[in-house]
Amino acid sequence: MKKITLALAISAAVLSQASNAATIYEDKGLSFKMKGDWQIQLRDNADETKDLEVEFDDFEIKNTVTYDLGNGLQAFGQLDFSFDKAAEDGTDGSKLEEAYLGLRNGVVGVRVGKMNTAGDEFGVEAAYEKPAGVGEDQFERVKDAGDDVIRVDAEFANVTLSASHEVEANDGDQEATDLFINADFDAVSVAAAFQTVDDTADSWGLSAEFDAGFAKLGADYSVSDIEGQDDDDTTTNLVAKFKATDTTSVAVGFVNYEKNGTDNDAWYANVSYKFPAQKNVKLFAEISDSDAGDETDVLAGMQIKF
Amino acid sequence: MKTIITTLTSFLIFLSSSALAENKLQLGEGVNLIAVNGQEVNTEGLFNRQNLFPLPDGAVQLLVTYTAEIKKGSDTELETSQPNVLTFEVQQQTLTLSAPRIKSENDLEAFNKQKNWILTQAGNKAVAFKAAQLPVSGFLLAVDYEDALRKFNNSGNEAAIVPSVEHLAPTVRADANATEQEVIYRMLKQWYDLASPATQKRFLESVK
Repeated sequence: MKKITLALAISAAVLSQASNAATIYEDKGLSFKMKGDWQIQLRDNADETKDLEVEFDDFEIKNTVTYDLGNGLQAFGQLDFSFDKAAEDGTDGSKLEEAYLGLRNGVVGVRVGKMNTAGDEFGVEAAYEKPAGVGEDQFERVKDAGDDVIRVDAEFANVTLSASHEVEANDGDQEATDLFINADFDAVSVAAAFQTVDDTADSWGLSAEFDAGFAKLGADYSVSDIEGQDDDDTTTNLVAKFKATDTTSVAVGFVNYEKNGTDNDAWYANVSYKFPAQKNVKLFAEISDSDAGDETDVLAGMQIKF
Repeated sequence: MKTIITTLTSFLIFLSSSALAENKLQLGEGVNLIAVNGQEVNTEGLFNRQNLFPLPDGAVQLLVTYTAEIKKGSDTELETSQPNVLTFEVQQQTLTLSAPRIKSENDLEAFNKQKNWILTQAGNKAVAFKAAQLPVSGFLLAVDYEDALRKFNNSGNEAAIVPSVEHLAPTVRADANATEQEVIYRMLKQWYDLASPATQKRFLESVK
């Protein structure tokens, strides 16, 4: 049987498909993204009364919608659901972490709703879990989120400014105002933050980070003048982050935490491995010790982001 | 018929040898290579991500995105740029493709607009390229990038390229009863279908 086959192609075209993970829909100025941050840990807590257990952290799904309104103006909104407490059998269903709407025009964005306050931007701490008895910084300790927040973020070349105000509502939250400023100068970043929470505390903090090439070094210091307390509360962080290979990074940190006259020192060290195929998938392990803990805190876990 | 087969075989050998030229592309941190000259590439391994890719000599078209880690509060989020088509010429070189430092959503938006990729050859010398956003819209859970690139390359965009023989893939199969003229007709039709509207018009005028 005579057969004539003319093959112009070197190989047959195989139409494989690649997915754009986070962006679900995009057309005519509308963009809908779904983001996730799922983390699970096997942890032997510093509290000796607690046994080894599986802990859930940041089991979040974020839904972000952006509308292009033309002339550089965008409307945006985000709903952020967290399921970590539900996974721990602590609550039924999800917890709403963020819910806001806003407008952005070039470098300036304004949003209103439930969200992190501007002071949450502060800090260099790099632990997966806070060592026993210490906090990330004074803003995290006093107030780092609210549900009646108006927040403005602006970026000017190397300077980032954030300001937030939580109005005094009937939900028991105090009125709070936060300011945060960050400036980048090549390998150096410096930041300052201030927060005042009515009838609770006034806090301020300074931080600096330096990219030395072989490592990123960071330090921060924050202070709170707590209402009705004689001594100020303070937090000091020292951090060094190294990239051992393209896929593996190491962080070590020291924390000093002074709370109501009690002084605690803590340290932590963690190693993170990102899969080369997907930097969104990470394995990690951490060890930490603190004056406040009964024993060393050890954990190992996995994180998936999308 | 024998003459046609011989001619086409020689043509393919020529194209194959030119396609195997020793050019290499190195990807910087966070750069995702989706396709080269219209064909999707597999860049992933479980424990070792491939970041060095062979490129053919001549015009090369890449489809790439960049994933940035953006700090938000005490956490970081991964944000990916829009898919960009980059077109450039390469001859016996190792090129490196990277993105500028992106620390915020505004940086990423600016990058999406400016498409200021950093393409360099040996000695950190900049390589000229044309860049355009690959238009994809609707539900993006499973985009057929090869099809999107085919449409893009027929759009007349300055970053479009004439599709190479490798990815045109017009396999003309003639059955036992096909005549020589039938095979030729099918080949002509396939090339015509692959041409841009401008090229089709030019061709029609030339055969009037």
